[in-house]
Amino acid sequence: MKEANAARAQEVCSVRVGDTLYGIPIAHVLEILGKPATQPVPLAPYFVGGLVHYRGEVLTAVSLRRLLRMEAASAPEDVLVFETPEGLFGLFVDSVGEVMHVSGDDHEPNPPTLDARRQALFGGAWKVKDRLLVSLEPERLEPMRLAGTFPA
Amino acid sequence: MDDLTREFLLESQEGLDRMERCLTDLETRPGDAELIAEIFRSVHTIKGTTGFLGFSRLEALSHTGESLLGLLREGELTVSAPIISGLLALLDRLRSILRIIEATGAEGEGSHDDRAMLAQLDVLQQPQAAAVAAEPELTAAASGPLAPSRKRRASGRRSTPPDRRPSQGAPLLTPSDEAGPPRDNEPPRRGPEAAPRSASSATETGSLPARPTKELDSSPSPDHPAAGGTADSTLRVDVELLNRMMNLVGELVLTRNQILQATIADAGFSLLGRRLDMVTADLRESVMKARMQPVSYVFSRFPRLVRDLSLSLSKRVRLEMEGQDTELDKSLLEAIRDPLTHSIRNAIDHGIENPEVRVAAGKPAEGVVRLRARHEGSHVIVEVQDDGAGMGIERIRHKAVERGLVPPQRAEQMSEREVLQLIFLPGFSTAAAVTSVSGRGVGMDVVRTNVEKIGGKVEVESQPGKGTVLRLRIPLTLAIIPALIVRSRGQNFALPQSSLTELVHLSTGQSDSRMEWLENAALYRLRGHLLPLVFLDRLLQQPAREPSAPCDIAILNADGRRFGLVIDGLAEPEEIVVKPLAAVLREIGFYAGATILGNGEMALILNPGAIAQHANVGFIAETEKAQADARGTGQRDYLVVATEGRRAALPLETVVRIERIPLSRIERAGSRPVLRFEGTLLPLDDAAACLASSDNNPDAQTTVVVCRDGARQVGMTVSEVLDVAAGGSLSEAGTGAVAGGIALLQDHVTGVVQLSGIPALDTALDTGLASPPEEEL
Repeated sequence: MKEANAARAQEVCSVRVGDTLYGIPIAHVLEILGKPATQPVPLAPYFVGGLVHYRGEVLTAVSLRRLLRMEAASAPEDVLVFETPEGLFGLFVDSVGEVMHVSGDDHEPNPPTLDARRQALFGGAWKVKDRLLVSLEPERLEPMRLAGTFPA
Repeated sequence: MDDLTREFLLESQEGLDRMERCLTDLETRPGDAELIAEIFRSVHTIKGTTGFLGFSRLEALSHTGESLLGLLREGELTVSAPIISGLLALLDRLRSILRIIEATGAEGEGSHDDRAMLAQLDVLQQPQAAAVAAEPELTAAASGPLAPSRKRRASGRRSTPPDRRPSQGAPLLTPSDEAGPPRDNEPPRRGPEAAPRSASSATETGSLPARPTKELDSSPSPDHPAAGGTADSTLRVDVELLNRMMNLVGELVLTRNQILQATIADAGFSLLGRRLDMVTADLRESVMKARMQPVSYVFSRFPRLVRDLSLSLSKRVRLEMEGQDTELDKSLLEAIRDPLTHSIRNAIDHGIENPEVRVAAGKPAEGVVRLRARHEGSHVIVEVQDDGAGMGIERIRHKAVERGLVPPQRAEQMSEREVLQLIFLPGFSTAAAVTSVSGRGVGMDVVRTNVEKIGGKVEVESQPGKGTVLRLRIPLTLAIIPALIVRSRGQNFALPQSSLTELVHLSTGQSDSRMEWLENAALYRLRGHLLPLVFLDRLLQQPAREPSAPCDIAILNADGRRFGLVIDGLAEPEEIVVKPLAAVLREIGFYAGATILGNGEMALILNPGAIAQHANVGFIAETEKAQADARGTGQRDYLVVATEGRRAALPLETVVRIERIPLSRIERAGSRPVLRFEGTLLPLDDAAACLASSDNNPDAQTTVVVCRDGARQVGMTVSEVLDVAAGGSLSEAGTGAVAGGIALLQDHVTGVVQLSGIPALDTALDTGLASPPEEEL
């Protein structure tokens, strides 16, 4: 497993939420929507940030801030669009940064000291130059799955 | 998977569907040679193609099936129950292999099971074996003891209009009449279609392996039966492509709405905008039409279902189908497949009694399940009716209490209609015994959920001893619906027009004084009746609003539950494209979907039925309905309007829509004003004389009341809509004759508008040429 990872260098899209930098394999990212208009959904599960318009469809977008129980963002957020077998969904992040190359050699699992919620959401982290890039896997963020794993 | 295989799968599946239909028909008409020929062709087609695609399991099975059918066709064997069962089993096996191929690209393993089936089919080919198999021969003349269960579909038609059928032979196949019958020693001149005609006369079929008679060869019956013909004018289209087209049309509708809003002020653009409007409407209709399929596509599987079920439950059931050419959107058709299957299972399992019970109750031993489809306005109604025992109201009441679905006191207060609705609750089942067919308590709630998911409704009526009718009301199209956009706490919501009956506006100060409170339940007195109110902001846990702020009450009727939904304000009525919501949001229950509005904003579509249910709104009491019916003779509701300072009344039931429109939308056809409304042209009565008075102001607006007058719709301009009031006709003193054209409303004698007096459009006028508006206005 470790070796397989080592052999694989991959490109990840870096996104920022609060002070943390996250990396999402670009292969999973269908599109990035820059500060789209959003529509809140009353009574939705807490992790739903709202609806966004994407190519004629109405996408449900998960808010990483809400999911991590952080304060609401002060500025409009960017949305990443993911495709899963269950369908499309979006993810609100503070902002989307550059694409970075990471290698499996630099990947470390989640530290055991991390809280349970983050343990379940994060897929470890990559050590890049001077900081950590937290690995996010879209399938763990799929709304239906979140409703099962993180009920209010 | 390569194209050839895909084509083969499609072709074969359709062939097998046809075969299934024919086999169940064959039970009723065992002598019908055309049916046998049709089945033979289906199997033969599969065999022919599998050979060179290299599917050996399929080839072996279809080959043996074909031999058996060949014997039937030539009259060397006669149709019997074991043969039909054997062929149905073969059909199921072929289907399952096709499914495996579809999933994996290869046939999979299973040759052991195949061998057993091959052996069985071989046995059936022995004339004695078939006879010894102890079933009486199935001839049309001799309807033996088993016959009743086979008489189903007596009234059913061989559905499916021909233009929807695929061409008979796949392009890669030799025409069936040249492929020859399976038995090489037969005289070559006997075409496969001609030969089986010998069986068409039931008396001839006997158990003697009759040789086909010559006269049949002279029959003009075509050598190319269903082949060719419509094949050239039809095309097989991938459903995915149609879905994509539908989506794009939805996008176009949105863009059109945006353009229309943006160009209202600009005369040149608005003309183009209107043309775009028409073209979009036409295009939308065409794409929708392309997605329509006759309900027979779903119905066709039910004869088999009824046959198998009634056999396994030892009941005698006949299935009658009507209206199979009623068309419905493909995706809706798919969506009602399971609910209908459930309903038919229920009808047979719970509805239809055992033959002895029926006879004892003075009914024919054979029960009837009637499946009916028909159009009704913008809906298709599909009914599943049985003449069984019906549902006992008290039993349902009792059961629901026993299962803890309703508190006992509440159950006591429920009307019959409400009690019947209880069967749709999850966890409700009254089957005395859990059978393999139904009775696990998952039936009816699944039916309702699935039908509501596509915007439909389920109704149930039941009479003890007489039977039950389950009515599915399915919207013609699910994609685009007229809706009213309303606002609550700064957010847009869409209310489907179908459940909206009227709107009440309460201005500042009125809102707290005109709502009445019974403890914490808000009520509104609408023409003497108390209407429960639901506050949208509270329901959705939005920030509360000022109690005295102006508001609107949307009076909704959701499946017979009437209530007022209090909202902050109204925006435009709009045709909205329904977009599905993610499952997590569907679970909230109050939203039927989402949409993108003309101004680019999004709105959640509210589900009035779910809101009513959540708020515990009861059904309109039967008495109130009865009153309304009784009142129908003398009292009517009228819309009171002002036209040029005079009061006038329009019968409320004729009013379709009240709209504020810019005068530029009114055009002239010849000398008469006309209004473009939802893609049609309405004759307009300019009662408010607004066309004359606002000559110079292109931005002027007017209020138009759109009414139904018989089959047509007409419009009337009014200066103001005053109220809705109930009123009675006036009788002339002395004679007692009812005065036409006037009504007593709110103590005023008010003229009733005679809609028929609005002249019809000149039908010779090409609507596309409705003359340019600007100069003449």
